[in-house]
Formats: sequence, structure tokens, C-alpha cells
Amino acid sequence: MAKGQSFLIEMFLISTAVIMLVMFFFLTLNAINIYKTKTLRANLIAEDAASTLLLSRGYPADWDQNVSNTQALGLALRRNTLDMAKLRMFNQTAYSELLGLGAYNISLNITSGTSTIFQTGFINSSTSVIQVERVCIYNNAPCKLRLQVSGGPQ
Amino acid sequence: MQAAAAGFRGATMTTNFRKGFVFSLDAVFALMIGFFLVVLIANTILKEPVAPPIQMQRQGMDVLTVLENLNRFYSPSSVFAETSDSYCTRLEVYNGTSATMDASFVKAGCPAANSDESVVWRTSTAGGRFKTVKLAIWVKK
Repeated sequence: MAKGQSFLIEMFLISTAVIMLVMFFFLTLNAINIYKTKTLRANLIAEDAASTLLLSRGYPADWDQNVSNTQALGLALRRNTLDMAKLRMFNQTAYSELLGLGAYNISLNITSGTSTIFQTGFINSSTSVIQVERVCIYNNAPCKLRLQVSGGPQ
Repeated sequence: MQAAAAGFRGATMTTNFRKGFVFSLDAVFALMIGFFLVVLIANTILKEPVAPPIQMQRQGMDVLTVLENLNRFYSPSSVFAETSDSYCTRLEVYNGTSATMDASFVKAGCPAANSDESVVWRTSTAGGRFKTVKLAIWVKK
């Protein structure tokens, strides 16, 4: 009888340990998947925002003439060519919200070679950062548009 | 009695031997399951993020648009330099629809080709002549 009892206790302990172990592994996997989904979502939003800035003129197309009436942002004069006038007015818009990135910290940086043409926004470097880089034209020279996104909804 | 006791002791020894064997088998199974779960998690964590083909296609379209608008199909290095450091590019220019390559350029610091490259084509004119341009783009290893 004593032998039977010890077998039951052993079974109970082992079963508990195995269940806890399996739960731990699946909870870890779940946490990793949640992190990956969040990163993927931020990546897609950043990609879309960069495309919107680089390929569209915004709405209305002359939003830089009346910034308060801006409904959609776009910095393009034509595809991949940046409009100087729109770039000058960019900081006067609620750009994070207009780009659908209101819940994120964003930084926009435009460079040509080693010189910086435009820089705005702030990124907290202690969090993971999504970065999208696109090739553009500014003042008849090739340039690089770099959009960085961090943080996001919890 | 003595014989019975000896038999009993023998039976005990046999039982103990079996118990040890079953315990080892348990341990092997437990290790296998544990190893499987560890591999599953490690695989999820360590899997290298692969740039989706659509992202590379977008980059390729950007490069071709900039090259076309700046008319730099034959001097693309300054445009290649503005692409992301993680990408390599190769440009091939063909005369009209000819299969003979007129010129080829590779981004500085990149190998000439890659088995996982994504390709974007465009037709354009350069120097008053019809050209077919191919841009190959891939993630730098």
C-alpha cells in the first residue's frame, strides 16, 4: 500500500512539473509571437508612411499653402522627387497623426551623401527601432529618406 | 522458509532492476520533449528576419525611378550609395530588346550576384536610344 502511495505522489509531482514546464514553454513562445507581431505591424506602418511621403503629394496637393487644412501628408513633387516647399512646412503639421503613427515615436531624416538636408522627430534609443530607408531626389541629386519608428501601442 | 525468502529477495532484485530501466526510459522521453521544446523556441527566436520580396521590389523601383529621372543609367554609383546599407544592387543596361548587355554596374562592396536576388525591369530612353534596364537587388549577407 505504501509503495502504491509513493507511486501516486511521484506521478502527481511529475505531472505537475511536466504541465508547468509545457506551460512555461508555450507562454514563452506566445510572448515571442506577440513581440514579433508588434514589430511586424510597426514595420508595415512605417513602410506605408515612407511610401506616402515619397510617392504622393498629399491632400490637398498644395497643403503647404494652408497647413491647417492638411488631410494627408506627402512630400513628393513627382514620384521619388521631394518638394522643397513641402519639406519646409512639414514641421508645422501634426505629422505623426497624419501618417497614422500617432502612437509611435518617429524620426524623419533626409540626407544626400554626408550632408543632412532635413531632420525632425526624436527616437528613444533604449527601445527597439524600426527603420525604413528609401532613395529619393532632392535638388536634382540623389538622397536617402530614413524613417525611424519606435514604441507603439501596448 | 529460507527458499521462499531467497525467492522473495530475488523477486525484489528483479523488481528494482525493472524500476531502474523504466526510470531511464522516462528520462530519455523527458529529455527528448525538453530538447524538442528548446529547439522550437530557439528556432523562433533565432530565425533571421527575411526582407519580404515586396520591400525589395519597392527599393528596386525607387532606384530605377531615381536613375531614370536623373538620367544616370550609365553612372549609377551615387544613386547606389544612397540605398540602404543592408541591400546590394546590380544594374544591367540592354540596347532596345537585344539580349546583349550594353553595360553592367554593381554597388560598391557587393558581390556581382546572389541566388536570392529580386529583379525589377524597366524600359526607358538614354541618349535618344531605347533601352531595357534590369535591376537586381538582394540582402547583403
